[in-house]
Amino acid sequence: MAQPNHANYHHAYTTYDPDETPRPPRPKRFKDDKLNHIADQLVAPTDVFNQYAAPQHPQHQPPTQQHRYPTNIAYNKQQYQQQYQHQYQQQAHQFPFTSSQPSGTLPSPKAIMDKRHPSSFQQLEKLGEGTYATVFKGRNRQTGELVALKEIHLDSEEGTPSTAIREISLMKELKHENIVSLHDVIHTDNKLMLVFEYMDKDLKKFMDSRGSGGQLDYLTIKSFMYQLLHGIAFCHENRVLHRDLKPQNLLINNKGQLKLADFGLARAFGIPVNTFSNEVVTLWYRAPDVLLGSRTYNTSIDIWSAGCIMAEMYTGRPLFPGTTNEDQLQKIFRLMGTPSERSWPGITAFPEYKPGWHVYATQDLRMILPTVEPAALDLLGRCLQLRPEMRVGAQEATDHAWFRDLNVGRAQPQQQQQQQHTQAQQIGQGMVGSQGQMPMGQQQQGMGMTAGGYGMPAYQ
Amino acid sequence: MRYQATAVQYLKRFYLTNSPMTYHPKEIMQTAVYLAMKAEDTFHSVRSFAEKLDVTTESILASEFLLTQGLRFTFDVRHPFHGLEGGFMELLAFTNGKGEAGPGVKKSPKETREEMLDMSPPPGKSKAKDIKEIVIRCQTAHGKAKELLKTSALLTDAYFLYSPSQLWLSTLLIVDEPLARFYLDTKLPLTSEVKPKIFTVLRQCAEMLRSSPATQPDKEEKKELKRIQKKLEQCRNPQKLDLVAINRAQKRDPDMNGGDGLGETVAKRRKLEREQSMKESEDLFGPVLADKKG
Repeated sequence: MAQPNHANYHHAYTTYDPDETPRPPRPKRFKDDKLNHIADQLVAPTDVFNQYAAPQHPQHQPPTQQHRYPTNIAYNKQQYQQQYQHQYQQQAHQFPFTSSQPSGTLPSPKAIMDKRHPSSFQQLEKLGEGTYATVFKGRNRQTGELVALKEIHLDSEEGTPSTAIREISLMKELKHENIVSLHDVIHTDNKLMLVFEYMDKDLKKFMDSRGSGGQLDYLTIKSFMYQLLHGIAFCHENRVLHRDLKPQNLLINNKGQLKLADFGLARAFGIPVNTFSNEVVTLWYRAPDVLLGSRTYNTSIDIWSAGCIMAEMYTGRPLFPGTTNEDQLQKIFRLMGTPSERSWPGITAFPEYKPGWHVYATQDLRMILPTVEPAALDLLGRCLQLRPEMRVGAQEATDHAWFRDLNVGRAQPQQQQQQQHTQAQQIGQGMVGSQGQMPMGQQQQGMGMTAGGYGMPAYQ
Repeated sequence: MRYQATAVQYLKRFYLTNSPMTYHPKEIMQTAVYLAMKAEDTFHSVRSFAEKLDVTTESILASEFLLTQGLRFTFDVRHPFHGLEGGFMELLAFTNGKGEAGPGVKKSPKETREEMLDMSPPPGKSKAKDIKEIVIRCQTAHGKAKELLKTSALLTDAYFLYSPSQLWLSTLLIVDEPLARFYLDTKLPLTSEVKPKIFTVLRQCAEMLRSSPATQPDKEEKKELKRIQKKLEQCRNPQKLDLVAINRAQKRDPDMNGGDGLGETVAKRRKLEREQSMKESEDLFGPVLADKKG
């Protein structure tokens, strides 16, 4: 089966003209042969992208042998495999050049770049507009494939917005089935366009379209939560905080897949505490420690958001629809109880701590979600902890008992993967930052050193 | 500083496929630092940055697009610094008798601590008398290794050829070999077959780091630098001499193929493009493909 990651960058080739006179092989420029090799690969973009985007992590592996989705809603394993197979076959069909062309005879990156133009995508209707980008539906003119085109406004004095740089930087490395994938980046003189895979709806619209007051059925919620936590776990494993999880940033397709989107929209300086009124919507999913002015927040803030989203899927309404920072905290305390130095040591030291808060008693989650099964409530309770250190980790959450009946079909491969993973991780402790993919060229050297992206040798 | 290390890697990546005769490193360097600051979350406004460098903001922004394209938008650089910190923390945990050895290594934290006390001293030093001396030894090694990562690792091609963990482990190997051996022994069983292979690679990497040029050029090198600079002035690509002017021209006429986009505002042009593509979407061939796919 074809390598799946070819797909991510195939657009460079869809516009490649086979009639173009091939360039002579490049002269050797470096003393070190390894460097020459790298340089040659840079000339042949597939190889390089392959290298950049190659799934190093066992969890990156395409879900061909096993699939990691709950089978009991929306689609089943067979369908899923068929869909993938179809996709791969199509790719093989589309790119006759990638396999037959030796790297030295490909046109230079420049030549490809020049041809990779926004016009290779047909721009369809507008899907949304944000402060720094407008998103359109688009279609690849060559393949007919639907994509989402995120057009970044370049009018700012600061050149390319840092949010765009951050987003590209992260999305190029994060390849996961529950994270929306970045196919390509197109940059012309007056615009920057990110080409994402097309998803049908965001979770907000999905809920609104359900007609039952925004509530979702329990099986769908379980599947979505599982996928959401899986995506978050992958981000955290790769030391990425999403920082802006909300239903609008979770995309759904008609196969029942949920994917995280909109990375880098969170400000580069962390989350601004004092927001303008038009930004309050993101307040609703903001963790109490962040609302209290913490600057040392960590992965647990994404878990809080996940908890808020889970409750919202059950009720159809946002759990804590605050209007201001203060109001947001009040709404949280009304349900979770007002924290004190006794229940949360160190809370008085937070910049936004106010001694005069109304003291609420802790409510039972069952009060607001009376019909929800106990296992689900248990997970929700673990996500919605006031103290960040008490919140469950994303990986741990995906192993929660509530998901047990979803896990049946994939127990074995998952276990294997995890074993490999933990082993490598334990050995690689203190080698933080070496997990995930490696930057260019680092898989070049032989010596049996580290085929897997851990930067540590293969032990088996 | 993390963004500085990133900027150095941007430069190195850029010049894998571009020639300094086309684009002057001095110009690209400023932009690389500016871009690295954006990518690494240490953002400063272009104005304050330009003021510090005493150049115009335009000269920084002019080559930004060029650089992003040269990097093929691969902005993520994996650094060895985090790994070094983690390893250092682990070593300290071992001195406290709290460090757990890796899987397959049958050693209790206490045994590991004993072993650490028994470790052979660095060349020219006497054996440690108590655990305090070991802690100091770890701290010294950590400081020296960090320095090497900030200098040699960036000045050589090591980032291209070795992974972050290989990089920091080989700096540890350079500054305190017995300590590096001890660390790997806590990770892998004594009989492990990969250990010799790891050491071969670490040695190669260490060799490369040792071959690094000094951070400051000496007299000879300065002379050579002057000569190269002079030569470069004479053989630069005349078409790419003034990046600012090229950039201005492109902004005035983004299509460069003569399109009548001259007097239009950006918004108006966008609207026209949109309408154009809307029209095309009604096209005979457009929807058919989509149907086929769905």
